[in-house]
Amino acid sequence: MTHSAAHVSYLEDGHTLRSWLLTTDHKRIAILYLVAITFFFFAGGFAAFLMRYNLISSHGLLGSAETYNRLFSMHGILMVWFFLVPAVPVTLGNFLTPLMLGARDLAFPRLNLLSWYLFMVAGFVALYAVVAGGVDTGWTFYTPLTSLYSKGHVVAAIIAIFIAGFSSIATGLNFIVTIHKLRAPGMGWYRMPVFLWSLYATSVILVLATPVLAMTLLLLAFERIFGIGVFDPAIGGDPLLFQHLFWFYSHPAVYVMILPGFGVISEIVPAFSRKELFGYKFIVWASIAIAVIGFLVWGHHMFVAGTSLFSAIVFSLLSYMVAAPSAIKVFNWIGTMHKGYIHFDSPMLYAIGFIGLFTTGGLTGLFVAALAADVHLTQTYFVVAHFHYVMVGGMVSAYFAGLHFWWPKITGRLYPEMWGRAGAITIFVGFNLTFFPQFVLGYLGMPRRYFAYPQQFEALNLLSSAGAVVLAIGYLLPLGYLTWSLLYGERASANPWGATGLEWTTPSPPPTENFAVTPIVTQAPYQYEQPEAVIHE
Amino acid sequence: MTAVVLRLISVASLMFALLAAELAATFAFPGWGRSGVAVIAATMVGVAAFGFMDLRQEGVVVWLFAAAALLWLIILLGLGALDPMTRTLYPTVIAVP
Amino acid sequence: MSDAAAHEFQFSSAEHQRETAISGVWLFLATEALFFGPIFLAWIYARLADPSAFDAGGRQTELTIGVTNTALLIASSFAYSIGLACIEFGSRRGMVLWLLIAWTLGAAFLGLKFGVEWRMDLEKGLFPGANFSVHGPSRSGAQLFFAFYFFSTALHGLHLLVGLALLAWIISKARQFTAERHNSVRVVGLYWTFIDIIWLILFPLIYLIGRAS
Repeated sequence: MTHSAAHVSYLEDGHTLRSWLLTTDHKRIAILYLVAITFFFFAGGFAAFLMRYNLISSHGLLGSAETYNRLFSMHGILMVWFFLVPAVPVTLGNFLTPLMLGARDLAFPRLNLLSWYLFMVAGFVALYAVVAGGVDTGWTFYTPLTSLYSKGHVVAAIIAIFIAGFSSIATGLNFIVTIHKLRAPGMGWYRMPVFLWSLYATSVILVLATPVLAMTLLLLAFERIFGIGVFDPAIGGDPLLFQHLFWFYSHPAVYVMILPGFGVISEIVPAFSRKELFGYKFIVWASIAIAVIGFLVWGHHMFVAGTSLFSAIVFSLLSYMVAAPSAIKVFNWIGTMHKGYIHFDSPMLYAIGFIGLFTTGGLTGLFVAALAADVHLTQTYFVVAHFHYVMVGGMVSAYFAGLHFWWPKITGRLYPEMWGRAGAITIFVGFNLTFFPQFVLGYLGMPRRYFAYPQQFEALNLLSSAGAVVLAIGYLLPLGYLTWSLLYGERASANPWGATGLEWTTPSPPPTENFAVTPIVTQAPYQYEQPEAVIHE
Repeated sequence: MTAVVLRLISVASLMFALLAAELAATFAFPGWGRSGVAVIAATMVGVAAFGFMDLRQEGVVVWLFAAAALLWLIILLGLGALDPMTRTLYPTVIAVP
Repeated sequence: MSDAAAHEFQFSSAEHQRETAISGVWLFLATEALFFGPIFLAWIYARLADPSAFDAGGRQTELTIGVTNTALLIASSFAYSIGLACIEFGSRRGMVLWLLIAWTLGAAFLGLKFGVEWRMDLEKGLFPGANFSVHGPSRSGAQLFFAFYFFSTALHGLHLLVGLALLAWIISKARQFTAERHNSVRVVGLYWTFIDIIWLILFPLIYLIGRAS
């Protein structure tokens, strides 16, 4: 059991560019991804900033509908495919999965590196599409605008998303096989942390839904290039077929975006309540249920598109069913906090914010899942507010929560806690200021994707845009102090939070090989009521 | 080795027989119709999966993946076809170009 | 991959690595199944729109070539399986022979499909567009059929081409394989038969449904 190097941290194990660009170490790949998605987050965010600037005046300050259309398309494409879908899985997921399993790496390390290169190529193609003028079609690419009429760079955008899709599939495949095959001795399925169950559920969606998107985009590209195809009504084709195929992927995709967030929250709430996770099996099977039922509800994006009433009713009913497992999770998190000893460190502030904002967003989903209500609410700002509450209020908060929680483990540094709390609170306040008015705007009838709007909506839009400034500050703060901590932050111990989980048994940052000796797991996760648990203030 | 080869020969023979049956269902036995063709095609897929890809020898995990693929295809095709199959079509006048 | 290491570092044994590789490729094939899924849904939608016109398009296909191609792929999967059995019993030479037969049969499919059949279809004016040669009430539905036909056969052909490349790669590395170590041969074989399976679904959709009553 001799080891050549004295457990060099993965960050120190090779300083050349080559050692980073040709690495197969899952931890380094996670860092490579982190840099990339941070860039795309701010790029997509910048587009949103310009959109909110435009909407300050009811005449549209940017002066051009075409420009506005390209901005919201760019915002959607970059945020969905280049930030939200990869976010937690490729950063925290890549970094933590082998550590949490007690493994040396993922099942297919070279596939992992390939997935990063695919992502980077996709990103460059997307940036080219944007710089060349972008698309005016929205991130949803509906036919026949995209297939027959749009003058934008549709094919370039499609190619970018197609390639990014393969990156997703590779990541999902790697996680599923790793979780099945590389668990440490003693780690039965019910001894895995919920974060891994969430990643598993996410990966199931990634591998089964993304290929459908890939083919759909190919069909669209064919029709755009040859001027004829299966979506073309002139020969009896059905433009709605595109919507069915697109949403078959894109609805489960929103669960891809949120499930890892659920996993992060499920790790943080027990740690900062010093209490075992309430209802482990319920949370675990709720995650699987969300992944499965999430595939059955896509038609709720098409209630006014012209589908049959019968299928609309079926999809509406199924959409109500998918809400139940999410609600179960919220009850379980609150049950965990109940009678716990709560510490309001930054990860916990983000997590608590998540619970509130996600629940709000989730509840408003029930409004739009009702056929009669959706006739009025669809294509208005109500829907925009709904999905931003779950995606941004929910998922981005969870991402930041996880980033802060595992930052000491990943970087070996502590970030300044007061700044962390300031950031979390600023984001919470800014977020609500930006998006709550949008529920009202939508209810009052303001349509989405309009660059100019009726005068009576101006005050609420101004409020929303002001909120966006606060939100932007909230996002820039972590960019600042987390970067600062890399150079000047206090060095972290192996387990600064006193949390349970195999990842906290390694040094901060971990050595390249993760574990000197393969760990043997003898107990269930979240054993916080053990007397040996050390509590750090 | 002989046993394996004999098994593979019987699998291949079965496949060719099914191909012939497919053609028969199309041309010689109009009564079987399109559903006959569909059933035979599905059988051929099954024979290929079990006969050539050795699905039966594989573990639970592989069965899970194969079953998931089948189930999700059924969801895509079934729930996806629900809409066009239940639409009410209102007659329209198509302008002659 | 060094000869000294029986398995890669993240696995506990060679058997562990083998099982993981097989699981991985089956999961990949599941993604491929869902990849082709939308084409099948498109067929359903296209046919539902105007069944008789769609079938009229279907009757323009080259049945003989279609049947021949199906037979070629079945034979090719058979040949590959024999080749796999050869290496499982330690015969490298047998493996190479039968994999070469499988390769040839697959290449024959591509030659027939794109060299002969597509050429015939294009000469008959069957590519959808302004010059489509079917006229009358079936024109739209038939064009829809051929949009599906050209797209799906192109995509299937592309996958087969990748399969041929993988097969050639396996054959070129034949020296490395033994009765105990031949994961790659298994893995590529699974992909190869999967391409066959996709064709087994496309074949009736393209050649038979339009001709059945």
